[in-house]
Amino acid sequence: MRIADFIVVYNETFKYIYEKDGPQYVKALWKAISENYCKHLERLVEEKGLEGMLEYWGGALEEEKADYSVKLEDGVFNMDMYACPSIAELKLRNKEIFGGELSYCMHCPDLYPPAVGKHGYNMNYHIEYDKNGVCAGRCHMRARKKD
Amino acid sequence: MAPSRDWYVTYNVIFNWISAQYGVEGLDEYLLQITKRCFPELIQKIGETGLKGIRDYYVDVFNIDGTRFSMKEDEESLSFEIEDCVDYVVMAESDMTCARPCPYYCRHHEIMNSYFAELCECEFSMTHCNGRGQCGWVFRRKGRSNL
Repeated sequence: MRIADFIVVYNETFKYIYEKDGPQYVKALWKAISENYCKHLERLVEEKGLEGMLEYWGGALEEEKADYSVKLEDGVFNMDMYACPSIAELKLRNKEIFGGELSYCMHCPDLYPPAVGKHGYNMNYHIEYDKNGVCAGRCHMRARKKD
Repeated sequence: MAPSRDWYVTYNVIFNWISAQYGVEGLDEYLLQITKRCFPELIQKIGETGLKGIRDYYVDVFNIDGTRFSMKEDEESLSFEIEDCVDYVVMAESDMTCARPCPYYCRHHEIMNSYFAELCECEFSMTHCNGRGQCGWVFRRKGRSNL
C-alpha cells in the first residue's frame, strides 16, 4: 500500500470495521491509534505545553500542505482548518467519505484530546458538515490548561 | 496533499490492532476487502493489461516512495527483489514503540499481490521475506513452471 493511499485506506478501514462490528469497534481502533501513535504529540505537550501543540500541528499540517491557521492566544491553542487535505483527497478520488453515526472527521477528537488530556490539557473540536451531513473539511480546535 | 512518512507507522498500528482483534485470518480478509475497495482503477487496469499493469504500478510506487528494488520480466513472469522496503526504513528510524513492525506487516503484500495475480490468471509467491524489509516476489502465469 502506497503512502499516498493512506487516507483512502484509513477511510475504508473505518467503514469496514463499522460495517463488520459497529461503532464501538471503530472507537476502539481510534483509541488504539491514540494510545500508540500520539506519543510524539504527548512528548511535545509534556515538555512544552501549548507551545508543543503549536510545534506539532504547525509541523504536521505544513507537511500535509493544509489550508489552516494555528496560534496561541491568551493561554489558548487555536487550530482552524479551512480545507482539510484528507477530505480534499477523498473527494478528489471520488471516495465516499465515512459518515453517519460516526464520521471520518471524528477520528481527530478521538485521537488527540485523550493524548493531551494525560498532560493536563482540555481540547475541544467543532467539526463542520455540509448540508448532506458529510464532513466539510473544516474544523476548529481549542486547547487550554485544565483548571 | 503531501503524504506523511509517519503514516507507515499508522499502517503498522492498524494491522496490529486488526490482527489482535480478528486473528491473522481476519487480517487477511480485511486486507483483501481494503484492496478491492481502495484500488478499483488499478484493478481494472490489471484486468486489462495483466502483468504489465502490475509492473507499472509497482515501479511507480517504489520510485515515488523510495524503495530500493530490482526487477526481471519475461513473457510468463514478473519478479521483484525488494532490497530495502521503505516502510521498514521509516519504522526503523522511528523511536516510537508502535513502530516496531507487526509480525504480520508484510501480509498486505501477500494478500494484495495474490489478488492482483488472480485478476490476470497468474499466481503470486513471496519467495523469501526476512520481516526486515528484504523480500522477493514472483508473479507467474498459471500452469507455467519456473524451470
